[in-house]
Amino acid sequence: MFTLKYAKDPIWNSDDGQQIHLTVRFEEINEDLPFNATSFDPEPHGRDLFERAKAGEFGEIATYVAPETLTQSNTTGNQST
Amino acid sequence: MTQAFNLSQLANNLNTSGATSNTGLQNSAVTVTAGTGMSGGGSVALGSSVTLTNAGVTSVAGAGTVSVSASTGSVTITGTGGSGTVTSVATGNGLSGGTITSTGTLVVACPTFNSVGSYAFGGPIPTSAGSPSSATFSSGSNYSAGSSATQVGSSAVGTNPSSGGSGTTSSNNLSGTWKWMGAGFTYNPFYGETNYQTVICRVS
Repeated sequence: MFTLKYAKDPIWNSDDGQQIHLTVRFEEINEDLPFNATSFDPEPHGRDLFERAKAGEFGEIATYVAPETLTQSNTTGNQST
Repeated sequence: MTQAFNLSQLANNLNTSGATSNTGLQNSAVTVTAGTGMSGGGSVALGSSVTLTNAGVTSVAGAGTVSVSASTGSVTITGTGGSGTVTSVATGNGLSGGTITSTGTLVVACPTFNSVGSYAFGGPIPTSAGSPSSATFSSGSNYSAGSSATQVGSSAVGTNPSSGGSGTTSSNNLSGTWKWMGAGFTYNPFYGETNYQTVICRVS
């Protein structure tokens, strides 16, 4: 379990409303971390961060920017051959 | 100016042995005030007595693993050491075998998928071309889970026996922050170079 010092810069990290990207600082880790807070996180602190971010505690959540669609599938061939 | 000496008044305040009584003195009593940790005192006539009593620590006794050399006066307090007893050992994520309350064996176990301390095979899984045109992953650096070019998801690789080709499939199903445990590299998401995967470990 981690103790949150602060979280900032929330931005939706998926288009299904289940992921919010944050910059976080925990008491136990003395550096800012990129953190994907999700509703399906098995860790309680992750789900808590998601709910608090969703409620607007860390500021307005920036709009999710949908990526452009690749002509190439997400399942890709091995490029090392 | 000369003041007459009243010999008769002086004589009235002398006893038979020639000593002066208290009533013949300008200040015939003193006041003793009890300080912190003391009680008693008060106004007492000269020639009388007053008792002060210790109202603070009056006795010292040892208990448990602490012993004392005496109950009053000069006292030495000694810790005799403890022998605390562990009553139970629970097992957290990545361990099994608990809770142990007497004897038992703890065993390293597979942690819960996507939990802090768990490992995954993964890497960047951008579904888009474009920004950034170049992304770098460094050994030991931390990355957020997600599907952008600079985030990580879980992956699996396999081969197709029919075609002889190999492929990678990825999923945006991770949470938190992950440490890149493999070699560092720089790739170009613009060309859909998405098959850089290695072992990643969740740090928060």
